Amino acid sequence: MRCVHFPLISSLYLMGIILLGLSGSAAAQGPTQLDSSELKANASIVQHNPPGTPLEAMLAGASKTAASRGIEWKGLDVIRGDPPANVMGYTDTILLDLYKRYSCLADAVVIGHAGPSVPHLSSYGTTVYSDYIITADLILKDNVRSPIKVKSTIVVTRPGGTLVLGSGPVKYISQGFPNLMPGRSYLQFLRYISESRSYNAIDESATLESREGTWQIIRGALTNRTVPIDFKNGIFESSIARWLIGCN
Amino acid sequence: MKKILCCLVMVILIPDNIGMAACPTPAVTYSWPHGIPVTYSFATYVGAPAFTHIGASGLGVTSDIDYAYNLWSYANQNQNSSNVTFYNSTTGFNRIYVVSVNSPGVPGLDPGVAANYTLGLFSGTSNVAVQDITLYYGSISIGGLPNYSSGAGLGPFITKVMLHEVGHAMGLTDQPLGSGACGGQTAGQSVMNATCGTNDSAGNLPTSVQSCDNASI
Repeated sequence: MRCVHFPLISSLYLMGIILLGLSGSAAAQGPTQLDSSELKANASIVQHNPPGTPLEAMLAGASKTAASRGIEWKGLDVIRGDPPANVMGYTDTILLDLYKRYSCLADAVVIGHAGPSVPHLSSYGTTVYSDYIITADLILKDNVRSPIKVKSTIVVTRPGGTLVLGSGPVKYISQGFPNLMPGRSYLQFLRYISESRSYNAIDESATLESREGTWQIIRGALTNRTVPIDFKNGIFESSIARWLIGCN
Repeated sequence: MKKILCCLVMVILIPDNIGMAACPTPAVTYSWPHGIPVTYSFATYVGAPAFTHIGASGLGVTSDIDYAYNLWSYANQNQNSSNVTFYNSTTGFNRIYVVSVNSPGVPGLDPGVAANYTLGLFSGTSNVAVQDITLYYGSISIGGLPNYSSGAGLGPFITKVMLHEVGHAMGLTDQPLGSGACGGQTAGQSVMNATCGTNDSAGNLPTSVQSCDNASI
């Protein structure tokens, strides 16, 4: 049977960052309202602008096709796939190593629950993305540029959402970035977007949801993948704390 | 006699997809409507500076992409009941983008995959209206392995990747991943297998549409 106690050093580190978060900071931590004009900068990030045909052009073309096929035009449900990575050597060790890298790369690692969201069209028009209010329940790594208080809210932006454009409605579903469900608890490895003072997940693998005592990677390509014991609630956070100590 | 019976029971109880290789290939609820012509074209990428346009002709893989569509057209007319036919046309509504990744291996800037697709369904139906496919040349997988390598193996690999991506709009979905080499998948069994190794060096993807794939269409 595997020991599930936190290593002492990691526990002390975790306690430290929790106390740090509780003590708060005088620095502003970014917009907390989804109608803030600052958040417009999120339209330009790479994650929201993958290569492809702009959705407006897709809708315009598809509405003509619908007419020619006798289909009642109600808009498009657009699905962006999440293909599995090259599977050679894709082991549990590689997976854990990925999160070790994320821990160091992330500006903040936050466990929080999702609140309301507002959809927008991206700059190049190839995705609909949504800005979410996230309440920070535990801060595993704080943002040195804009510290986060525990129980305060931050804005996290991610692909996905429904909008009505000129040629009709579009429901954009990103299988790599499933919608965050209100009230559910997520562990996210976040990058700080200084222009909007909000955050986005590093990539598709950087959002995990707590399900039955385990952190599950919620991206579509890994939906059915069994995660190793190291992803159990508590053990995973402890590992992150240990990895953070080793970051350069 | 007891031993024979026991073995028979085991054969009946053990599912044929053990080891994560599913046959027929897993399917989704949507696809191109049966019997329609589908036109595709090669598009120029204009967008975020994380990628640079190469184009199919720039990479020298136009014929390899055409070949993948031809293989699907053949299967659709002869091996399954869909009768969907693909045509290359300069005005084709379904666009193929070939880009290079400018920051290989950087999470968030490198998709980490050989290719991806975006498809649109007519809302309220299960009919595919449009499919874009993007090839990410120069991308590096999560495990640190380059997805592509130039040289003789590139063209056949592009064809295999395209067979996979087009398969999504034909109503197929990715084969499940398990443990073991190449995700525990049966090599060559389905175009919806994952790529395994640079240019799929392990031969996990087949070079044509397979019977397991046709059985789901």
